[in-house]
Amino acid sequence: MKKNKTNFMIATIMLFLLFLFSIFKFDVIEKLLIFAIKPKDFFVARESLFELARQHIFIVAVSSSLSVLIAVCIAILTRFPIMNELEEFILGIAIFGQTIPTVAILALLVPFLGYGFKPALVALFIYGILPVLRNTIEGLNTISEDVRESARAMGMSPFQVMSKVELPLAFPAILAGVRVSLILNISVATIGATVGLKGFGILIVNGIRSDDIILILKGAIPVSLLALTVESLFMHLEKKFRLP
Amino acid sequence: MKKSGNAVSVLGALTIALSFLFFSFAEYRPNRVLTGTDISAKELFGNGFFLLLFASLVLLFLTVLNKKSYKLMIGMFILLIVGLVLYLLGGALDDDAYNQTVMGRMSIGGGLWVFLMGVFMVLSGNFKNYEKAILHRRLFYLAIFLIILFFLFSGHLDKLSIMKEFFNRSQTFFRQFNRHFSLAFLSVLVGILIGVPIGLLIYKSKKTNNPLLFLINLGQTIPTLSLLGLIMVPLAFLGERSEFLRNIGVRGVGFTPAFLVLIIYALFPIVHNTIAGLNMVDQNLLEVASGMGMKGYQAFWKVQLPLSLPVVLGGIRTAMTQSIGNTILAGLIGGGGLGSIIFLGLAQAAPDLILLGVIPLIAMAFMLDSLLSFFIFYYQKKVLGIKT
Amino acid sequence: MIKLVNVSKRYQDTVALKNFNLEIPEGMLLVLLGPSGCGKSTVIRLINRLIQPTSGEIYVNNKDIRHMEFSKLRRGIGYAIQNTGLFPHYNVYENIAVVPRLLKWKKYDIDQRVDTLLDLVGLNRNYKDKLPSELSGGEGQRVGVARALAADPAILLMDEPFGSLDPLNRERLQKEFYRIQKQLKKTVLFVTHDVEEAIRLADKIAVMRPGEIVSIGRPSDFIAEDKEGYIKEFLGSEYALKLLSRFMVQDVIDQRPVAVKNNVTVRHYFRINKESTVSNALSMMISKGARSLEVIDEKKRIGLIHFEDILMNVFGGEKNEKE
Repeated sequence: MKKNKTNFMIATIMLFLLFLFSIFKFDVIEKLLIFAIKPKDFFVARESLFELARQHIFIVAVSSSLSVLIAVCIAILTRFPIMNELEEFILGIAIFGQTIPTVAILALLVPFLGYGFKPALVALFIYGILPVLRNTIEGLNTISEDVRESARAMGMSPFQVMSKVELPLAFPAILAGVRVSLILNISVATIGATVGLKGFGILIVNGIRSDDIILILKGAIPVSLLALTVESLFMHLEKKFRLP
Repeated sequence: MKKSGNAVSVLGALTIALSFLFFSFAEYRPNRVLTGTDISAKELFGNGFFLLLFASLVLLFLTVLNKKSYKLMIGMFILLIVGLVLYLLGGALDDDAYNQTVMGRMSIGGGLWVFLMGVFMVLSGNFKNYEKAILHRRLFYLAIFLIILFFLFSGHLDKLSIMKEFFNRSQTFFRQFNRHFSLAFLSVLVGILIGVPIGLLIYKSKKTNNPLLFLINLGQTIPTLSLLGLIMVPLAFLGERSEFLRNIGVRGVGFTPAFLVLIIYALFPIVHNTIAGLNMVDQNLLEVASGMGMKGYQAFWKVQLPLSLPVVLGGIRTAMTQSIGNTILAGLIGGGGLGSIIFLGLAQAAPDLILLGVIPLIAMAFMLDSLLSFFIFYYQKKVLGIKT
Repeated sequence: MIKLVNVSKRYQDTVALKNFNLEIPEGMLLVLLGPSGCGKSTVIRLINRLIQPTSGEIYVNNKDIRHMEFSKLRRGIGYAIQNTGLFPHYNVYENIAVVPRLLKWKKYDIDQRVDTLLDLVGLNRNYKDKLPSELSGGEGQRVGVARALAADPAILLMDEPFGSLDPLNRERLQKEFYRIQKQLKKTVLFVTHDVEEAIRLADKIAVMRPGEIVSIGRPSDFIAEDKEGYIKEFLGSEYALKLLSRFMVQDVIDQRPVAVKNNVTVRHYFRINKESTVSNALSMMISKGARSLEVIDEKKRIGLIHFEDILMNVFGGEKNEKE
């Protein structure tokens, strides 16, 4: 099936351009939509679309970087024999965490951390860890034992084995985990508007409240394009790093 | 074998003891809005505190020794401690000192959560690495749940702030609870009815680049709230233009958009797992089946479907738990459900209201998840004969 | 040089090695021959300290390996295993270059070395950029051997390196490795359960049964050894026949002139190449019913080989040597 050669590079670039267009030139889109939908125009956002985009991307970037870092560290640590006992405990927590919905965690954090940036950051961090952790562990596990043994036998230190052999081989899996984590983050950051987080979600929530469809779209379209761009980018990267 | 599980359960027992010593178990607020004062376990439970401390030390002792015969005893001890905590809590609630005013509220403090985490650690560390471990563990979780329910229903804990919130709006609560469950459950049901055939179709077509698959992946990538918003647009449009559609419930807010979005999200795990499950069945087996004279559809019903069912059911399980979570958003658009309680709590800055929405939600998710995974386990064992 | 003195290795309730003693002088290729699970792989792993002995000492080049740092020890030892263990994400060049890079060689030297090794193992130099997934079984094993030899170690440890190949490739690689070893004269510990492989490669063979060595000797020594039942059973009753594959026709040639008329020999002989093994010759004699064959060197006749010579001189000769 030659059709499978979806070029993600092109898709990424196109989506990114659309995304930028939707942020900077939304009025054009608005004019198109007016044909079909009655405009309401009651709510004028305090920040421009660009500013909201910046904040949305900012919190996703920060929390993702942290979760990836921590998740990879934990995954590496589980390789040590000491951690075998804790492995099932960690897995248990992870499964527990997966069953609890994102909004619930967000809402639970509010009494402790207030509204806005802080509880959202913590929630994003917690949710971001699991996909990366799971994929990294699995990626490391699929490495043939012979390869590991050869690496040790050739005189590589444990650190070198991990950094030169194991991590590079697990890299495609890690990338997949990061992709899932990022998409999840973008989604939760949107919902974060319900606890006061600044981002695209505000527009959607306010649009729902004031029955202003254009406002909803003002938030929904850019954030969807953002998510699609990220997904496309990572599909491209995964393809690039996958071993034949 | 010798040291397995020891570290975690010991840590758990330690956590339990520490929760009594160093954390506030309750918080007293003179009314709903003002910040409250922390109350330690000692203050709260009075003499019962020393009993609890003693019990947790015994528990610590038992977990350190880590003898096989102690496993059951440890479990029972945990139940005992949990029951004791709840009993004393109820007793403390009745204490006049904390009920000076009608408006006064006593809510759960951080210590109780730390305590529960310790309980979880002890149970997970204690029941593991032997054949019936998971079953036993889940049974004890169930027991704890029942104990909590017992104390709730006996009215013992009625003076707790969260219960006060509950009584303030008990009718609404049950209505929203049912709403939530129906939305989640129905959306998964429809998801199955649509998703499994789609999965079958995609599997049969054998193309890896099926446009249908692409669409479903698309739905999963787009942020939930955003998809909700996007769906609302055409629905609102349709609802406005056509009276007929409006009458059957098609409108921009409420049940319809929430339901549609939930179905879309349920499709992803169901379709993917259907395809994966069908792929997993060994091609050789199918060849043998047709070699024996089974026709295509016979081989499918008798061989392929039964064998792929565990994976498909796993997808349904994922869809179910995710659905319960996603249904929260229905509360934003007037679709009801526990989400509306949670958002109300967020808007009013009332943590108890938030908890009133969140805790039953988590309980629902866990129950269904456990139910389904038990069903899958049972199916694999009895019907397929797979040994763990 | 490798020396194991009274080495024992015990796991929970099993004894993998029991008072194991072995000495491999410099330049010798010793084959450790035994059934699966007898502990031969354990011996290899003890030498490069992938596992530690329960008791006993191990010396490499007269130094106790317990006093050597892991990495330093291992970088001086070449290691080749059955599934090659090539790094899937490195191409052939990078795989071979691993130890030289660890030793911080200059790039120019590494380039030279990789080319030399590829020539040595019989691979075209343009294999450098290929990934392991693009190599056939035989090619992968050759790269594995090249990788083991990369930093020019004095010692090679090889654990059934040709075990996963089909018989044709296996034989080919054995012959090539024999040639390489003749050239490089490394100290080699070669582990296998294949008797023919042992015969083809070994300077000496150590026959093992679970946990211990039963007997050590040159391949031809084992013909006389029919006292020990285990060895006889393990080596098989066709050992003598298999041993014949170690000798080449040109070793047993009879070069006396033969009656010729018009540049063609009077009597008609079947022909065999001088580089065939004696067992090939015997096989041909049996199939053709001929007691003598004509030996050819690139179509040119250089002599004859007779059945009686094979009978008397191959092992009989060795026996005479000993006496």
